[in-house]
Amino acid sequence: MTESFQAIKKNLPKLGVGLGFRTEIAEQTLINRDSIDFLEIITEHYLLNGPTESRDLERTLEFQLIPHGIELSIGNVAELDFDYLKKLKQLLKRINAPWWSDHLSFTGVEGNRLHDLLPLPFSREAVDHVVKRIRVIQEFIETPFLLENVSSYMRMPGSEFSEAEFITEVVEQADCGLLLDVNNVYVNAFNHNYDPFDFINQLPLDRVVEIHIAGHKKQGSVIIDTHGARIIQPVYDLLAHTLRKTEARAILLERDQLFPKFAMILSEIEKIKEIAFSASYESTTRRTSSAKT
Amino acid sequence: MSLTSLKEIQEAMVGIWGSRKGFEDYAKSGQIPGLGNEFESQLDPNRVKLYFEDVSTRRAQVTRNCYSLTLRVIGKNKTGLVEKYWEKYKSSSSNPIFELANFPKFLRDECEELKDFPYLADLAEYEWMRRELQLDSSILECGSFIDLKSSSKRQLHKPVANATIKLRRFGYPVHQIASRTAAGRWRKHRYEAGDFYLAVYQDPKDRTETRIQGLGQLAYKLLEVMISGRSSYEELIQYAVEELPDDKLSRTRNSVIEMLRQFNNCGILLGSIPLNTEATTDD
Repeated sequence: MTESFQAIKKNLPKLGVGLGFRTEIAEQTLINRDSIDFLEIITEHYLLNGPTESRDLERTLEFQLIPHGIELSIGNVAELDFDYLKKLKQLLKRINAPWWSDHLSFTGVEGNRLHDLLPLPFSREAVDHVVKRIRVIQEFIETPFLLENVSSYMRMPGSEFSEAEFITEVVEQADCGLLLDVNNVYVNAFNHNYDPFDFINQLPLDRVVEIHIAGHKKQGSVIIDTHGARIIQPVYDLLAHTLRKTEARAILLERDQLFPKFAMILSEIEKIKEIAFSASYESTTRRTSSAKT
Repeated sequence: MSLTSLKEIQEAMVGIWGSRKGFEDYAKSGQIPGLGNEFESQLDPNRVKLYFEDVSTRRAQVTRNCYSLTLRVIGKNKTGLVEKYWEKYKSSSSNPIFELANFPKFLRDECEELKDFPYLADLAEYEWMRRELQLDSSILECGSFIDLKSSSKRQLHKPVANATIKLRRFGYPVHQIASRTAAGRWRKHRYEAGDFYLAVYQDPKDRTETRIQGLGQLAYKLLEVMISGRSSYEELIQYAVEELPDDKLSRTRNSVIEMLRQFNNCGILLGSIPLNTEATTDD
């Protein structure tokens, strides 16, 4: 990819508001095509290629699908897993995905993968390492790549930057997109005691293609990113704040456990759409009035 | 700039998050092997513990998804056992499912519950076989159906086996044990050890469905030969005749033909193909 990511972003489709496709709510998801603009699938589930996965993929093809990975382990110091990347590339081609994403984290070390999104130290070495790997991956995969900010409960030892500086350094140098998870921003702001709005303002928002939003759970002195509760108003406020500052191509509601009645999920999607509409209206009004002045 | 490398930091933290002993040693001493004192002061043990617990929960979930019945029988000791498994068989691939293949072997080697439930490793093997089957994307080749009464057709054709079929000999009636365990009735029942033969395969009409067929010893052996894909129907009958020397030839022939028909009906066999295309002729 020789174009800058911002130039690439201009040509990416506007998908609207989507939902994470999960087996537990698959049937209701599929029959609510009119309310759900696109689906995000967990990449690794569809790399197995078993009959159940193939059937599920076939059933969802009426939607635009976006693969979202949890095992790329971009920060891992081990070699890149090209077997994984080859399968991923095939999947992207099969579903004609306009972009794909994974997390700014690591999942383990060589020979001992913990299959969890583990935080990286915000260090210069980590920036250089991740940037190098993203460049190799982008060159190999060819479909635009977005990196997601992760939720975290502790700051890793060896950090030299703030989290916002770290994310910015990585995506700017690697020239990739940003998947901004506003719930993760809220969770981290609480867990690490900073202002979530300031945090968002520090990010390169022109690189945001997709936004994730979800619920969480307070457990003692920390907030756990569970994707198992309703979205709270302060997180909606972060979404609105972000959308007033940048035009995202897609917003995704993540719900992974403690599934409520589907009507509740649909009402959250509806609320997200209203916020997106208002933000878009406000931006247009602002642009029009500044053109007049 | 940090003097400790990214690799050292990752290895040290994974050593704590991925192992109960590693975590407990850290919790007691406050020290992280491989990292200097300046790092230890930056860490809150309660926050470190959240990741340790999260990793343990994920491991338990993925193990339960694959071995739900086996873990139900193990009962209250399952958490420790699952932790021990993942510490022994560390994951090296991007999908943790693949790391679970060794669980039956691990149970045979390490599980004390085997004394009370000697069928446990077989049950795990059975569950793994079913899980593996769900990941099988082999192409299912089909043949045509021929009249097995025709001697020349039997000589010139061979059966096409369902490519997903897995055959196993178990020491306990695992299919029955699995059903009873799923219904919550495993503890009330003792099972006699013996030879139990099973064919497990994808339903060719709906590959997301698993079919399980109990087999007699002869049927099992015949299927083993069939899967190798080299023998004509007539050779299979000859094989059966040699396996049952005391039976009458005509009775053996008829029972094998009947067995083959049943294999066709239940999706174990998917028709017939000529041994080689030049050789195909009608009676």
